[in-house]
Amino acid sequence: MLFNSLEFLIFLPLCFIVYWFVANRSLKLQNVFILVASYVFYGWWDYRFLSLIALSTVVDYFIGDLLSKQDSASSRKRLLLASLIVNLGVLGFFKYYNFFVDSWITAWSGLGVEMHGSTLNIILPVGISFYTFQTLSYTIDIYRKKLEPSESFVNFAAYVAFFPQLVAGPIERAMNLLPQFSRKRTFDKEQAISGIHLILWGLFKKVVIADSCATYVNSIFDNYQDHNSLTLLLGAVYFAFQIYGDFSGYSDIAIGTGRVFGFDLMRNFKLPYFSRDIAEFWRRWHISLSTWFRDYVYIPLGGSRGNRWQQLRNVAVIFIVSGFWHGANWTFLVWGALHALFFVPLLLVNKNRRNLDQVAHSSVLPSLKEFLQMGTTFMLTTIAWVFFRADTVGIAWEYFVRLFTSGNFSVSYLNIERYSIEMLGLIVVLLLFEWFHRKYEHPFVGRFIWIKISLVCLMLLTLGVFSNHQEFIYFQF
Amino acid sequence: MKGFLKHIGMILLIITTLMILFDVSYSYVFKVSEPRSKIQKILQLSDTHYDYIFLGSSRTENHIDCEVIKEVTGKSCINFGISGGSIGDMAVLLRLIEANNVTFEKVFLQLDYNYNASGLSQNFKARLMPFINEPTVREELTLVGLDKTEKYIPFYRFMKNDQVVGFRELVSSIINKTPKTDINVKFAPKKGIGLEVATSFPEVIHNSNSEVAAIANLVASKDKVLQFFTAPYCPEVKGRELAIKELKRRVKGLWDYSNLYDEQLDYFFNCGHLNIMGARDFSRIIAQRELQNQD
Repeated sequence: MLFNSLEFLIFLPLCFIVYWFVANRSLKLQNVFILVASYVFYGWWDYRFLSLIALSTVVDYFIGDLLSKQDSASSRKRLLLASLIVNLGVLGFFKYYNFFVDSWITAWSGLGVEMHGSTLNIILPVGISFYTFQTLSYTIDIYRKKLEPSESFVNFAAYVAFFPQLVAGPIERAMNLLPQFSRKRTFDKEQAISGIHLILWGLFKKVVIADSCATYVNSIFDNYQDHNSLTLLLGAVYFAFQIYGDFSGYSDIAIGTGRVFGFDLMRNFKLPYFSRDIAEFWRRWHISLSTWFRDYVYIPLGGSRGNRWQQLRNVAVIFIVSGFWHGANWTFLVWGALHALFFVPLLLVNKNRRNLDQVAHSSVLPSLKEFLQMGTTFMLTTIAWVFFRADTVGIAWEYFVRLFTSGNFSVSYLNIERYSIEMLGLIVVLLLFEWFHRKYEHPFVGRFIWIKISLVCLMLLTLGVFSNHQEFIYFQF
Repeated sequence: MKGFLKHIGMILLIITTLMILFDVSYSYVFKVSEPRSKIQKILQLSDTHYDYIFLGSSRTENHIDCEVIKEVTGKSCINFGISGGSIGDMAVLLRLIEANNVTFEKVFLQLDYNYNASGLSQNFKARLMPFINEPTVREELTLVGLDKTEKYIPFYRFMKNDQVVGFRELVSSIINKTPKTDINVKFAPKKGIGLEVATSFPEVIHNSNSEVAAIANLVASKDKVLQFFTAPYCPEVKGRELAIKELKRRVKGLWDYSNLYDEQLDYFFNCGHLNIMGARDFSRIIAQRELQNQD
């Protein structure tokens, strides 16, 4: 079920009514209801893959329980290994099997050896990377003795399948979300209202910004050989905003929906395009994934400890793994590697933790220096996004070759019957909204709240893309 | 909870008010503005007479030049071909033409593999949406199964079809922007030469098509003439001969031009469409045959 569908528009109020007016007498009943609603939500897309969520839930619940009862280090290690094998095995099969078979055959044929292998027609279950990482955090934290296992199977199952964030995050740690299932939840008006505002803002980012950008992006990337430098540049910029609007919009709707049901999910995006360097960008973009990799990959590898070589290795590993997490394609690996490349200079001069505050936190506008820093960071991330969007690394490369060699900066008329620069107007609207509310999660605060809500509703109704609505990009990861 | 429900109620009130306002204003603009689509044009036509009406898909829209037809036959002509249009679309168009008191002598209906399809095309249905409150349009849409959401939720019909009748089209109508296809000339020729997009015909042609029958009944009830024709395809199209042979068995008197330009490939824009040179020549051939028939 998509957040931007009519089904969800009916599903959400129905769940709200049952949850707060029927199931509110008992916490257990509320959790059972969340579990059922979550399975309905997921099953709406493809009920067959519910079995994978159920498998992951059962395996990790029992492994978590056994881990807490085991004192022997070797037994604990074996149990953790079992959890890793089951979870990463399922993920690996569904997501990476074809990629490895193809890459293996290609590698051998490059050496002149003819290999034969068969790929399978595998459907990637929606959200598998998200809930796999979520359940892994549970067993790893119990293994590290940072978390007590869940006493209730229903609570744990509801935590794994919690519908607002099941298919595209935020990837919630068991330590943050699981205890919330054990606490009595009373309706909090302010929390619920902020949730509704986040849903509205998320819808705006998805339906008005991301889906409108998608129309231009698809036209430009699909015909990149025919376009000039300006159009290709705009195509890359539009994709930067498409993926931002799409993913941060989803996260906002997820967090907002969570709040309506009395849950606090972690913030996943903090205005990443106002970052002054790549390190700051990664503290603001897909925070739940970057902190997951930080805590479960980067720090165990040694983090920023050790000599320079080890530090560089750790940075390279975390970015490349992050790229690979997004999908089984070399384009994602190059995307991750590019970010590592952009990050390394900051690490070498020890400036990777210098921009920890909000840009222009005590002034209305940024200084010239901040403006140039933000522009440079945006440009770097946009370069990497081209690899993320392109079908192959070769196509991304050709895209850049054409962008830098065409030398034609005239505005073109696209095959979607629109001028290439038209979308910039909406992007400016988004940036203005975000800049002037950068200290908040969404713009619906302050004196003119109802005017802002009306304006966003107006844009949503008139400028939103509903006929050709796109799935959220991160569903495929 | 009360405060929250009040807040939600306020947001819903804003959304509902905006939807009603937009529904009324969009409907009004599409009704009174200069026509930008053939449907708008038909709905604004009344008490007009055309000798020949051409109906079909892009193979009519791109191929039939009424100027040429008029030059050869001396008869008035209008091309209501719509790119991507189905026979179902053509049946509705003809009923709307009739409902608006537009009289005619003869209808030319283009047939090919579209004989197998039924129902309205998505684009055509979307184009009808602004006029849902017009009794004739509503009746037509009810026949094909109008969604309740489109019928009862204000403005939803515009949102759901935003690529066709959304904000962009509204602004274009307000500023009277020239449409891609000049609906007054109603002939949208293709420019260039090529043989790409070699499609294939279906292996089986259905035994009948209820919408073709409906068009035939309507024309017969007016005591007018209906002529079927097939437009040229390039020889690379798979299954062409067999499918047209089947079609001719089902549709008596079909003017088959499917292989007309097998030796004249520079008349093609792509495998399924003629370019402007081919279109003008094809229009002349149809007109001359019509003239011969009159004699």
